[in-house]
Amino acid sequence: MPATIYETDILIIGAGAAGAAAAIEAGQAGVRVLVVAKGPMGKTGITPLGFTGYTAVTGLDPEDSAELHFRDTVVAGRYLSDQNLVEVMTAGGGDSARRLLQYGVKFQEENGALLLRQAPGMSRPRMLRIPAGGKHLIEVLKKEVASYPNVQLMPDLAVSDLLQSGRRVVGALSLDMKTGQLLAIHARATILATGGKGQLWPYTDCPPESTGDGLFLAYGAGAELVDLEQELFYPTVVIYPEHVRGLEISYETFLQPGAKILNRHGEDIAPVGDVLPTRDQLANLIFREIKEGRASERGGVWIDLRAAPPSLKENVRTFLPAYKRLKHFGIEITEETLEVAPGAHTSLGGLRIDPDTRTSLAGLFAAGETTGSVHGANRLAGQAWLACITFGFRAGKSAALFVKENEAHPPDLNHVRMAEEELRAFLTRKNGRFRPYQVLQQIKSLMWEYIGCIRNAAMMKKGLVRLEAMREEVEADLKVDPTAGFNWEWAQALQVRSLLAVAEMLTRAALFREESRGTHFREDFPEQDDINWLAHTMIRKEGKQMMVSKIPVVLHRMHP
Amino acid sequence: MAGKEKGIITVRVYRCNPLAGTPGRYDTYRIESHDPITVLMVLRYIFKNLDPTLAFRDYECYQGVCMSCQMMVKGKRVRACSTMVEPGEEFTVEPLPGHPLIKDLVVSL
Repeated sequence: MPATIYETDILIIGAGAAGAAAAIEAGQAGVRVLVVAKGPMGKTGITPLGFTGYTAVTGLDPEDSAELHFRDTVVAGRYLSDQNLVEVMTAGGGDSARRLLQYGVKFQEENGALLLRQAPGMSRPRMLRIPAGGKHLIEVLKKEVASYPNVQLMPDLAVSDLLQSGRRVVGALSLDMKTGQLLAIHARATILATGGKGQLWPYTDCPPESTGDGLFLAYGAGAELVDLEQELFYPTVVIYPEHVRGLEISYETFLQPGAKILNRHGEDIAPVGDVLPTRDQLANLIFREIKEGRASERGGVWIDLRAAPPSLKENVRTFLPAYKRLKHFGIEITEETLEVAPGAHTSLGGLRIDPDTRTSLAGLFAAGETTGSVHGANRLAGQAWLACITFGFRAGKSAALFVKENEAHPPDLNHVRMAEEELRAFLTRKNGRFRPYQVLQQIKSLMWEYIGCIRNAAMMKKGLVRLEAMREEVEADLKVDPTAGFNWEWAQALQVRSLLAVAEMLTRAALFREESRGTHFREDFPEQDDINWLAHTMIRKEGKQMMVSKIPVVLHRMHP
Repeated sequence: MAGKEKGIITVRVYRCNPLAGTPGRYDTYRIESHDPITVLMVLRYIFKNLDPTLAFRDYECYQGVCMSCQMMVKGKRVRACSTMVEPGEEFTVEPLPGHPLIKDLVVSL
């Protein structure tokens, strides 16, 4: 049975902060919008998990300015950010925060005014706090989206391919998880808001659906992807016990005098000093312990607060975001050790966009963590959501304008049919040896062993060879349960497809960038090289080849 | 009670595929574990080792806040990710009532 066809004006793939913001703007424009997500609306992706920070220049601090915010962002990003994008984001920060307030987002206040916090890399306190976290943010956005009758929502839908007419993107082929049937969505404009790729790694605080689908989809359609080697690791993510694995333990809260981080020999490796290490500094420090054979049996290190001063213990009990969750399982972090390792936290690279969120393919827009060159080589706290909201709104607006200025183009029907057949075949292979969940484990082990936080050419080349072998094995030997209906194995099979491609993209980009910059650290090229490498790595499909090249960074306002 | 086995968790899971039109039934699975584990981990064990057709939301927010793993365990509405069960226990898992059933433990949320 061929896929059912669904027609709309704007298809938004992903319903986190960026997707929801895009839906609001597109809804306001009065065009027909369809928002799809891999799971239930408001309970899928990383937005509901996000902690609390929203960084913006609100005008409340007379000594702060968009100019300062711009500068902090570019410096933190090691000059790898596209300054057009940073300009848009920092200039519009206050407005975006006000808009969220208007929709009903509750920011923390102190003495009747919005509380502003300062995090490493910020020259002024400018991080707002949403105490009820990402869960609250997405609920508010979801409510706002629901107020537009021209916006349809389809949860439990997994997009498998983009549809094209020539190079123009005209919609997507998808798997309706509720029924196991295929749905071909025809849309004049498509917005990718599919988040990051943390699931590439064995330790991550990103949810199971962070599998870089948007990158896979866009790559397959011929789009340009930048700086995929840049992955921010959060240094201290729980690895054991299993029921709290993936929980981020805020070192900004616990790493004070008296706190220890122990390796397998019981040595305290916690850095000493007045200034908190940045995330990449601490992540690399712990990663080195692991790589040099001094990790625990399970491959981590231990947070040890048992001998910490009472004031620090009290601080941890009051302010550590993870404290309550640990306590729910009877884990008292101030009185027992906790095993952690660096976990993938945010993808900084991704789809190349212009300030109107256009990608290199007509009809395709992107916003949020799935895009690159906003944060450059490292990002400041509270700016992930800032980027999602800023560019989410812009994507909705741009896509609506595109719809009004462009006629509908039907997709190339032969391609659609082929994509449908390939997808059905992929999802019903009964006879292989490896199930998707096993391949997922293999990908994660490979990435941690050969790429990880501290990289070198020899290991990455080995990694590529292994990836190639894995891809062939999967082609030949993947076993997928064929039962129709809600089939979790199908969802995982699609994730495997995305992650295999994304793993290769990241590895090739990491091999290509022969320097260290921000979250990309190479022990064979440990210095930042502004002469040769003040540039984006760019990946694009040409024919059947994955091409990597260098493209200049937009640096019109600030040079190193 | 007599019959409780060490190192084994026994779970009766509601199975139903409305699309197939067949009535619901309960399948019993035995999970090997010497430690207490969460219900979500029990379901993953089943999916990986015993029955790839089991449908459940394998989402995880790591913080117990997203509510996508809600289901009825021992007749009570709980989050599967936050509910521990002990070796030797026998219990029942069912989908959330009051939501359209998609399959087995997956409901529209």
